[in-house]
Amino acid sequence: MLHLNVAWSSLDTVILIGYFVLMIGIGLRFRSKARKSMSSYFLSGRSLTLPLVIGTMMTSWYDGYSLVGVAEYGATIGIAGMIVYIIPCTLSRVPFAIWIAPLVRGKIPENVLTVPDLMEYLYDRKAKLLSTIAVLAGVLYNGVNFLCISQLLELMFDFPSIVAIIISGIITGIYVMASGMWSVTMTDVFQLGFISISVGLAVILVMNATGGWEVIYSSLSVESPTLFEPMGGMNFATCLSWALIGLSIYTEPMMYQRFSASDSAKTAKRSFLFCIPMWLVYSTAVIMLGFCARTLHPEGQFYEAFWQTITDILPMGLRGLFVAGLVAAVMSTQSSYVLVQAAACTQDLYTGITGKTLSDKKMIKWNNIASVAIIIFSMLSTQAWMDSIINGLYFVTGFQIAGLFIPLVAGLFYNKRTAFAGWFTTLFGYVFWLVWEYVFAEPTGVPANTLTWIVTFFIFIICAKLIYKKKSANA
Amino acid sequence: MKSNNQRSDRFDFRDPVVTACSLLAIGIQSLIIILGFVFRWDWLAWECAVVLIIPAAIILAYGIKAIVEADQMMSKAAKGNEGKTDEQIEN
Repeated sequence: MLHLNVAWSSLDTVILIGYFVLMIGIGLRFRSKARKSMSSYFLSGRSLTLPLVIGTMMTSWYDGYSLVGVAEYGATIGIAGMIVYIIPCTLSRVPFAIWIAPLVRGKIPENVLTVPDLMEYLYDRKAKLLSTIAVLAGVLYNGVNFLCISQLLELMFDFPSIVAIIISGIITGIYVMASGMWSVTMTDVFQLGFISISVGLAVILVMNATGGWEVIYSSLSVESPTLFEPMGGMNFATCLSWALIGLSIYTEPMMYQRFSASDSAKTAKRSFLFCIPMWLVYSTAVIMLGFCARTLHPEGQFYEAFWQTITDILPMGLRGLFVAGLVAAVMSTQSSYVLVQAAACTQDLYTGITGKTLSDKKMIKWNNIASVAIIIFSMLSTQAWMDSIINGLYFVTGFQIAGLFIPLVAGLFYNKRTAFAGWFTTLFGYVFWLVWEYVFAEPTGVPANTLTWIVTFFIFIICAKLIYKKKSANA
Repeated sequence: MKSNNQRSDRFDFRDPVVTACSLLAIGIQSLIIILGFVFRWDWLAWECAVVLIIPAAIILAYGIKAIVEADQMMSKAAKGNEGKTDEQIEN
């Protein structure tokens, strides 16, 4: 019999097991139906209607970080988490929805399946290969999600974390390899329900049990007054660095995949516009949960405080739903990421290096092999984020923005882009960010996220103008 | 893969009503949240819950319907392809 360290009941177990059965069942149901072609496997045959795109888009953004990590902001930087991070993220997504979503779906050719494909379309094969590095860096972020699950199971059952991590990997692997994008889409719709209902009910119950904002303020404001300051005690450069993390959406391979999978440009745009306020509200609710967790359990590690709060206050049944919601969040994001990263290995790396293409059947087979390798590596990468899962987001998104943001966005809209500007800016961005962040350790106090964005912008424009003029003169 | 250095005719996916409503919703929600945190409104939790649960329930209902239809469509296609080789199906 497993020893439980938190309040738990048979009903909670039934709900949790029922969730796993449902997700695996859906994956197996669509197994034989969706493996006819890479387009069907990876993009659901480009036929996703508005509700399905919204479901899969919203849920793919929810993961262990967006629940436990964002809640941790409430406990560490307080309302600044909203003002310098969540709100700027929200606003930065609006241009992405209005201009980029419909452009990707409506104007980019149908054989462009991934972000590296898009970079090749905009520039050349060198840009494709270099952009694959950013996509594969996301494997390190997978470790964040596996860690969230393992921390929960460790707390609940005294499991060794390795056992919990392996369980997460096996379940994710089964339904990712079963039917690709169709499986992800179908399970995402249900997972949206699990996550939204559980977080929505939890924030009401937990805030009531805590005693509301007056109790939170009186408990925390004396010891941690910065929790209630708009900038959370951080300097302007650091706040700007956090605000710029919102730009990571522009380099997010999953979002481009969702746009490409939509049945029309209008669906791509509308679904993203719908998701923006929903993500905002979700993050708000989660930050409030973080405030409550810190109020009720001021000592100890945050994730322990968080889960103790949830399991103590939520009634039986809803506890199981909330945990299922977390597992749903992690599984949906993990399955999407693994799908994209496996395609980066097969579709992008292989074709980028050799210039050849494989048949759809072989591509799907190699995708499955790559998926297994990625899941194993993801499990290993959990060790990198043991101190704080927030570091995982900061590192991976910072690196991806550094390499891809300027070349991608400029490539979509700038007429005078050149292949050299594309691949050189990507490479420069990676190297500059790594050196500034880890070799020089942010000299002058300016974070790498802030500086790299500005430097790569100028590098791109200079490179593009130099080569473009040369090409025009030779024409 | 064919590249496209020259941007083709300006894309036009204007959707003014939907865009305007979305921007209004984002603006109002952001304002409510910022003020809610600054002035510490307890009802913000209820507002978040309602905004999370109701749309999710609607999407879930539509999504289940779409899944059932997709499953029926795929089943029909699979029946039609019975006895055919993979090459015949792809052609």
